[in-house]
Amino acid sequence: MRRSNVNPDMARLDGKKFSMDKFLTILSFVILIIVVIIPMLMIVYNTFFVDGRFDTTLFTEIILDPANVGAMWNTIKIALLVTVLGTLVGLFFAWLLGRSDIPLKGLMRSMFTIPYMFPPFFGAMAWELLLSPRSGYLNNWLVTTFGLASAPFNINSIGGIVFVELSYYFPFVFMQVVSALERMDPTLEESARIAGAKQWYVIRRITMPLVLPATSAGALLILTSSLSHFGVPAILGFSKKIYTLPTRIYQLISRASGSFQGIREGAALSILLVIVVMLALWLQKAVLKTGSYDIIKGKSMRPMLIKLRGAKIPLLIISFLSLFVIVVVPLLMIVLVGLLRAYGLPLSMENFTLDNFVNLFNHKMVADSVKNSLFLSVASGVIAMFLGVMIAYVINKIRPRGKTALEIISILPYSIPGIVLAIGVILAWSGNLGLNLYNTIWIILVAYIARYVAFSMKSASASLQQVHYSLEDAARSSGATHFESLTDITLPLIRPAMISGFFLIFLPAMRELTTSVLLYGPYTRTLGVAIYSLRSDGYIVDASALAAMTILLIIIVNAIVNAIVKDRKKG
Amino acid sequence: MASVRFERVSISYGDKQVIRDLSLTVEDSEIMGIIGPSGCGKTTLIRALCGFIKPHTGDIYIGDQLVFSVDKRINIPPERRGIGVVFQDYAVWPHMSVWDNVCYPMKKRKIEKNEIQRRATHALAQVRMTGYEKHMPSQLSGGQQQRVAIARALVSSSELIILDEPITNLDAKLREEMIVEIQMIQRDIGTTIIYITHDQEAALQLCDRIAIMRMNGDIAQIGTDEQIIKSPIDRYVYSFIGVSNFLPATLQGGKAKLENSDLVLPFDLPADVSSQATQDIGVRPMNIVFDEASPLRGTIKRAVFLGNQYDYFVSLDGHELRVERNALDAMQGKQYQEGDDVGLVFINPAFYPREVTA
Repeated sequence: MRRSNVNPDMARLDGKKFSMDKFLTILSFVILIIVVIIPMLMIVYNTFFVDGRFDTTLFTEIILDPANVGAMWNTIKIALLVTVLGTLVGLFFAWLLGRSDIPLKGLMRSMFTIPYMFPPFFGAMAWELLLSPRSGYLNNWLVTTFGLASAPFNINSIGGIVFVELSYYFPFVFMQVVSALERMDPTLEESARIAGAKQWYVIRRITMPLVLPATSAGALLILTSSLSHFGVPAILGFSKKIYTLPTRIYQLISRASGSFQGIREGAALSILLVIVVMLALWLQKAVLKTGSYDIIKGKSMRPMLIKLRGAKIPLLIISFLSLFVIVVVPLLMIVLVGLLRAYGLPLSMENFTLDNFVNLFNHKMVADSVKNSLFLSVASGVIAMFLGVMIAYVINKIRPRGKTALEIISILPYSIPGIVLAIGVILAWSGNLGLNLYNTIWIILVAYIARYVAFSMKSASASLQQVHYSLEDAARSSGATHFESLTDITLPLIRPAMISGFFLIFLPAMRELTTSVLLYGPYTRTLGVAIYSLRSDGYIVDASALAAMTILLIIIVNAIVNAIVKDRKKG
Repeated sequence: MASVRFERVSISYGDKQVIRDLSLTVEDSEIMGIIGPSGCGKTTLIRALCGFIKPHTGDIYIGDQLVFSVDKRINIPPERRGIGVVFQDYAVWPHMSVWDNVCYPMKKRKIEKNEIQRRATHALAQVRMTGYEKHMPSQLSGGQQQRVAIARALVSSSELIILDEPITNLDAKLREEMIVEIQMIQRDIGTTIIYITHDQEAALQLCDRIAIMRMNGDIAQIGTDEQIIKSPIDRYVYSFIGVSNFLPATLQGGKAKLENSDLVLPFDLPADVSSQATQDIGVRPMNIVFDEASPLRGTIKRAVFLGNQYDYFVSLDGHELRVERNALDAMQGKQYQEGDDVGLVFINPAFYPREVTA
């Protein structure tokens, strides 16, 4: 009901030229234009304009290059396979945990959240250690034990990339569907059973259609994540010359080693990638009409659980085996290889040492990368958090004309691949517009802020919607200025969302690879980049040790976050 | 102590005009009720008075001070209008204790510490919330939160307090008590109170004067409770302030004939009836008496016993009338059953020219 501008000409009546509302609105637009819009426009401009003239030769050359077309097909093939398989796996586990009487649900659920915490390229590293055709530990063991002629598995393939991405992305569907199942009114299924429908018929005709919106939302997330994904295909594909669009863009730019032509080629290819992502979004919308059903209620109810009877134990074993393979094996592998005295030695006690971990502390590049990542995560966490709160306030409370545009701009970087954003940031902030941040840590910071502002904006928005405007009005009538009503009432009320907004940014920023891998300079490596470079330079055990340290760090921070959240719930 | 004056105020949301050309004066130290159906613009009007929205046209005065004027380009911000407000949803700040909620307005107005202490204690006693100082709002019931909001408004201003549907969430007994309490407080300190509600009973009980708003955002009638009950200005006000029957009739030779019927009502028209031929006759259920001697005959269709009264639905040659009868009378007098033929007498019927609807 609230409109701030009943009569826009009369803003001046307040006696001030700029009201605070106007100031916040303009500031939000200006910042978002600088961090999001300008980089995007720079990509388009540099692709289609040469010396100020419109010219499509570069773009046509790039999209007709067979290597790029091949990369595009690989990207699409991998993304579709990961989406379809990930949706099936996610649905299966969601049904098992949401609707069956399988035991140990709590333990399984907490294991499903683990892939969320670690970057997929760690998994790629671990699986390459196990299943690389030349030296994979598991391959070698299978060959010697069964006397095989050649390695049975090859992780450096499209199938291998799909497998690793799958193991990281299926929880997207799982999480969405499990929560939809929990909120679904169980009487809908019960009445079908009472009407005489068989179990399988109820699942097929009642349950499945009801969770379709949740499934499709999760599948969409898998699809766009996989299309933009860099880490796994970079680790597993480069050695066998298997490229996807993100890795191909990286290759174009790093091969050109900073030459402007290379960056322009990367920019042109990014446009192709963005088109593919947008097409996927549009297709998804057209094929699966997402809509929500009213029968999914807000509060949870006790659903009717299906008795698995004889299938219970086999299903339990299958679930734990797959969870073990997906979650535990890669983590274990990273830690064990990190302990090895030298890469290639058998994984046995006499070859283990803590030296690698000790050496990490003496390694200049590693120390720098830890410092850089900590600085970047904290700084981008704090800045993007406040920026997100401000934008959410403008969108939800001030509601100016153009608030929809503001919302779209702020969540745009969320659907734009990180590698594309990185190119935009390079084009915008390495001297073309008069400001050169290239090779400094600031260019990474700007990219992180753009990339993560949507997280805190969404978290703050959800929280602000709970703060009814009468709470601020009551403060105004009590004698508080507009600014005081913000600091006394609104900000304290959304503090929990601000804290969680910070960690929503801090954690992914700590392990970021895709954006930083294009933006780092000699002294501005991040943790992700350091691990990636160590590995590509052949320091496998050091890379593993650093990855293991990172895992430990993430676990500690997560524990702290959980403690804070739990504390708040109690109080 | 402050009077309030709206002069020709119009407010629009986009293309939708919510308040049109409204003028209203609230006198010093008066309790003014503003009542009207949900969505008629009561809250909008109050938000304009508080300074949260800007009217399209008009002036608003609080006391002698012009707080808003389109022509003179004046718009005093809400924090300097000195109004205590109890919001519809209480707006008790959930992150502050009851004590901090009540002290906040005085802190913002830079009142001295001991004085804050004294006034907050007093205000909490007035709304019977002593002992709850350390409670957080989430530990309070809806009614208790409302009382905290009232206490906060009391310390906020001694000049003008606005109550937006302030006692709707209290149970019947506490409601009664709060009405008496608000009246006492008002007599004590002489604050001007504007009381917004859609509940005409509470308004009639509490207010010195009442303004009744129409759906289109203007005022139908302003008057004391007696004036409004005794002589509602039109059919809208008549039906708004109580349960009512309306009989469509045509005036013929000093008598009223029911429409779609040959029945002529057996009483003379009041002297001040308008000359328009088509009229609606309003009569309250409690103003219809069963009288066997009356020539006006109807049939009882349905009788409902409600404990302290009987409700009868009587058909008068095709028109349905609702009749209320005190249970005591009904038990002492003649017992009526469904289907009985009954004589009717109308007390104080009101005549309103039929509004021509397009």
